Amino acid sequence: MLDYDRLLAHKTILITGGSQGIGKAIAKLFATHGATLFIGDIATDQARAVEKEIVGQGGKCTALSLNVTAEQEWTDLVNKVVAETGTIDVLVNNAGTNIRKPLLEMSLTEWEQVINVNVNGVFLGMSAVIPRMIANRTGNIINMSSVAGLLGHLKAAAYSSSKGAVRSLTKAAAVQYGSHGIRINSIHPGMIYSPMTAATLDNKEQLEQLEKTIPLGRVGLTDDVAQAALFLASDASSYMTGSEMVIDGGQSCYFTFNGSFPW
Amino acid sequence: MRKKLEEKVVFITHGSSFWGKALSDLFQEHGAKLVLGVPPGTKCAQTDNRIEVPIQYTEENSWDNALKTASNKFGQIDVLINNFNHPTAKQTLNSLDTTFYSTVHNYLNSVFLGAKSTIPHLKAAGGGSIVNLVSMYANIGSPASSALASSDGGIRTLSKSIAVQYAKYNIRSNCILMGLFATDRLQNTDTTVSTSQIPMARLGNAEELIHVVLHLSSKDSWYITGTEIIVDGGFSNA
Repeated sequence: MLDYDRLLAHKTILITGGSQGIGKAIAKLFATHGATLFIGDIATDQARAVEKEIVGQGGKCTALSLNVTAEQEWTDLVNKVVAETGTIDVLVNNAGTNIRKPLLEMSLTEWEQVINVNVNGVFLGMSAVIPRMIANRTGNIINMSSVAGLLGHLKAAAYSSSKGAVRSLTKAAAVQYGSHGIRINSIHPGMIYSPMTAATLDNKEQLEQLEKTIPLGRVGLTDDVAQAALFLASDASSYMTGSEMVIDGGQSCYFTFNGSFPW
Repeated sequence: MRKKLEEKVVFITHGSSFWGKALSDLFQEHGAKLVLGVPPGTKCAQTDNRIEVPIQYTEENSWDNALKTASNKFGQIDVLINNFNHPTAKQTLNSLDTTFYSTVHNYLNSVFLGAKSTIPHLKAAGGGSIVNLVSMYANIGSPASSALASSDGGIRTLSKSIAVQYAKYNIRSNCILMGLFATDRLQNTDTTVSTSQIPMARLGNAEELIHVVLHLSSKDSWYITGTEIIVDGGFSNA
């Protein structure tokens, strides 16, 4: 029987980009379920503030510096986590970036910047932890994609491409390492209120326009995504791999007429 | 332990089947009041938190009557589980091809009628969740049964249509796409299923499905609608 109060007891979990937004919500929720957490983030000061908050509430959390595009930093970080706890059970590849531009307005440098963080970062993360998980004969990886990885994004070509790559990279890795007891799934949030989307959502007119395209009529919360991550990190989903969880209030399940909800 | 369905009334079709029993046991642990669909003519058991109602799933009247009974007993309906009751043995899948119309009629129509009869109750309760259990052949071609693929693919897009049409009443609708599970039927009728094609290299067990159903039924998934969760050990991606 699953204990829904302590779904992650005794699990060592590394979350990238845990200093704000969705990553922070995941860290806070995971901590309440008994996980031993490590946050790897390029914004080290902000990550330390999250560590302080979680530890202050009785959780186990360590903030460490990580640039997800640097292979050596991944190696060092995973070594440090394993040295401290003896293992690594779950990796949440959450760190991501966005440059909102259509294709023709985007320079190669900008394109590479998005792909580097969103795709290479996930590739390097999986490469760093999977050997340890193979040795453990068990492991769990959660990759943060997006609804933009399922459909074309009107305003962000590189972001959409990068998240599509995360989706299929997830499936490829799931198929390749499933027999080692490693589960790998992706999460696809729609419009979630977070620092990354605040510029759009704080504009009342844009928010109202956007809500018209969401069947449930509201923007999602970082906690909605955190609940899905908890579900995937726990044994509640133990037969799921290569699978996707879309958390978008229904935004991607229908065809929009003129960009707005048809009724 | 935190109960995920405290005071919620859940209607589960095919309540006396393998999956019906597994689901009702878990849901009861999580505080749900249960309405279990059983074949017409069955002697119906009743307790304070659990009733059985006879139902013919392809008859609209029968759905309406069953829901009326449920609503009279518990005052509301919050969740509808269109339970999986498809044949799982390979032999049976082949024979389905000769009965294309009846398969689509049985599976797809029953989900349509179930949603149609249940939505007014969910609306009256201020919202709710519909969870449709189908096979992974809702997404991919089936080597064994085009009938099953058709009915389940139809249920998948029907579920999305329900989601987009009734979200304004806070009603969510999602599918779970199932791979191969070690159920009573699979064990009894077909022991030759090859697990070598499954990335996780094994069949799923009942526990591994019912917690996914629980997640989609509960408020923990309140921003999830019009989508599907594949639970197949990686099978349909291999």
